[in-house]
Amino acid sequence: MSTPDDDSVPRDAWLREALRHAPDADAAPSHKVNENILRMGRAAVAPRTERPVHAAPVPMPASGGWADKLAALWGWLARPPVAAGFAGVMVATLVGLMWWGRSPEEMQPPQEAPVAAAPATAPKTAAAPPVATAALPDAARQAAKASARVAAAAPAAEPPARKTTAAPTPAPATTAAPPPKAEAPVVVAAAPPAPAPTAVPASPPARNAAAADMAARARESGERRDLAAAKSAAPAGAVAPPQQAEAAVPSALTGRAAGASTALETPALSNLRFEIRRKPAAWTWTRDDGAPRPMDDPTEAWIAQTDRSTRTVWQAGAVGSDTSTTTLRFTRDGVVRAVLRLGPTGMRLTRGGKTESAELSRGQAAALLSSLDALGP
Amino acid sequence: MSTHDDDTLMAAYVRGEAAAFEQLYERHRLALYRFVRRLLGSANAAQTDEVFQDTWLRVVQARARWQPQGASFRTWLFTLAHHRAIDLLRKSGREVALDAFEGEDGEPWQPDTAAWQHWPAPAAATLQGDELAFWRRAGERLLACLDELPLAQRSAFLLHHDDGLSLDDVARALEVGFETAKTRLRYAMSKLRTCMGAYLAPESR
Repeated sequence: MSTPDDDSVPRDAWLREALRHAPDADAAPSHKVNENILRMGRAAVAPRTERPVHAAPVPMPASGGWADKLAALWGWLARPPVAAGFAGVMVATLVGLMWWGRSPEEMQPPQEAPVAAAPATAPKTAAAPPVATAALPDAARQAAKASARVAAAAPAAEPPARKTTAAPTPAPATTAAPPPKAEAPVVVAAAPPAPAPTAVPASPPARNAAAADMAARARESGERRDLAAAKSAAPAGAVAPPQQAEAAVPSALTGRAAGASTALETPALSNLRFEIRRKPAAWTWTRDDGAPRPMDDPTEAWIAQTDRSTRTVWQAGAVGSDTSTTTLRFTRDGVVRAVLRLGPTGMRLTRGGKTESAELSRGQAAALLSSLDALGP
Repeated sequence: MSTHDDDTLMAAYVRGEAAAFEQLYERHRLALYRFVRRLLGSANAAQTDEVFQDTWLRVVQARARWQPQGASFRTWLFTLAHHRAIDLLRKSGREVALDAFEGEDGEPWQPDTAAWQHWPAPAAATLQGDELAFWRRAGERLLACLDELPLAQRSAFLLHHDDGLSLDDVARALEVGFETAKTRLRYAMSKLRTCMGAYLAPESR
C-alpha cells in the first residue's frame, strides 16, 4: 500500500506509519536549546550598542561627585592606547629607579678615552685665541667653544697651592667647578727636558684639547656624575706643555690603534672602579709603603680619571718590562684585592690573579702620577 | 505575520525582524530536530542538540546570503542540517559513504505484497490496543533498520518519507541529481522493507 507521488517513487504508507509511531517521534529540543537559538537569532539582528570603554574619550564631567570623576578617569585609562602609554611610563620609571645611583657606564660599551690625558685646564682668561680653534676640526672647534662658555661661566679656581713642576707655568684655573676640598689641588705637569714655553703660547693647544675633552664629556650624559666627581677631586690639572700634549695624543691614538684587536672590552680597572664605588667605606688603599688610607672622593675621582683615560689601551697579561715606580694596593676588608703599578711608560693592574697592562705616553703617565701626588704623600 | 510563508519570514529576518526568526524556528524546529536525530542514528543521538544548534547558527550567520529564488527555506534548512551531520560523523571518525551505491549490485529488492498484506492498515487516524502496540514495535524496528542504511540513503528516505519533501527537493537538499536521489530512495526503501518484513512478519504479531 503506497501513496501516489508525482515523482514516481510513491511513499510507503507502512514505513511512514512506522516512522510516525517510532519512539523518537515526539522528540523535541529542550527548553534550554530553544532559548539559546532564539537568543542567538535575536542578537544577530539587534541594534549594536557601543560599549562605553570603546567609545570616544570620556570627557570629565564639569560637575559631579568624586565617584563620577574617578569612573571617568578609569574609563579614560582603560582605553588601550592610554593604558599602553601609561604602562610604558611605569616601566621606564621602574628601570630608572633600578639604575639609580649606578653609573650608566655599566650598561654602555667601552668608550674612547678623552684625547688629552692631562687634566683639563684653562687659563683664567677664558677667551680662546681664534687661531687655536681654527686649527681644529669642526667638532673640536665646537667643543672648544662650548668649553669657553663653560669656563667663562665658572668661577675662577683657587691658584694651586704648590707645584711640583719646575717648569714655569701660569697660574691655571679649572674650566669647571672649583675645588671643593680644603686641601689645595696640585697642578702637575711632567717636567720635560726642554725649556717650558711661556704660559700664553703654551695654553692654546692644551686648552683646546681640554675643551674637546669637556665637550665630549658634556655629550655623554651618562658620565655627568663621574665628571663632576672627577672635577672635584682633580681640579687643577697642569697645563701641559705643548710638546707633552701633542705627544700624548698620538700615543693614545697609537695605543688604541695598535690595541684595537687586543684591547680588553672591560678592563679590570673599570671593574675595580665600580666595585669600589658600590661600597667605598669598605676599601682602603696604600701607596708604596705608606699607611692605609680610606677610600675618599678624591681617590675615587683619580681612579675614575685613570680608568677613563686608559680604558682603550689595556691589554691582557704583562706587556713590556716592569718599570713601575709607584705601587698602589687596594684593600677591602683587610684583603688586598688589586695592585696597581705605575711607571713612566705605563701601568699594570693585578686583580684576581690576572694581570693587565696599559702602555701610556710619558706625558700621560706623568700626568696621572702628578694627579696621584695631589692626593697626598 | 503568522500566515506568511517561509521565504517571506526569512526575508523579514534578513531585514532585521527578530520575530520572523522566532516564527520560522517554531515552525520547523520539531521536524528538523527529528530529522537530525534520526540521521545521526542511535550511536550519535547525544550529538543531536549540537547539530541542531549549529544548523540554526548557520541560518543566522548565512541569512544575508540566502536567496528566496533558489531552494525553499525548508529545503535549505535541511541541507544545512545534512552538512552539519556529515561534518560531525566525519569528525567522530565514522566512515561516511556519500556514494549510495557503494557495494550495491543489481536492482533493489521489490516488496512482496504478500508479505505486507497481513499488516494493519496504516491509514487509521487513531490506533488503539494491539494495533497501536504493533506500530510502536514497528517504529522501534524501523529506527534500528535505519541505522543499517548508508547515510546517503537514510537522508533521502527521511527527507522523502518523514519530512514530506518531494523528490525534486530531496535532490536539491542533498545537492545531487534527481536520478541519484531517486535511486538512493529506492535502495533505502527496499532495504527497509526487507528489514521490516523479516522482523514484523505476520506471525510475529
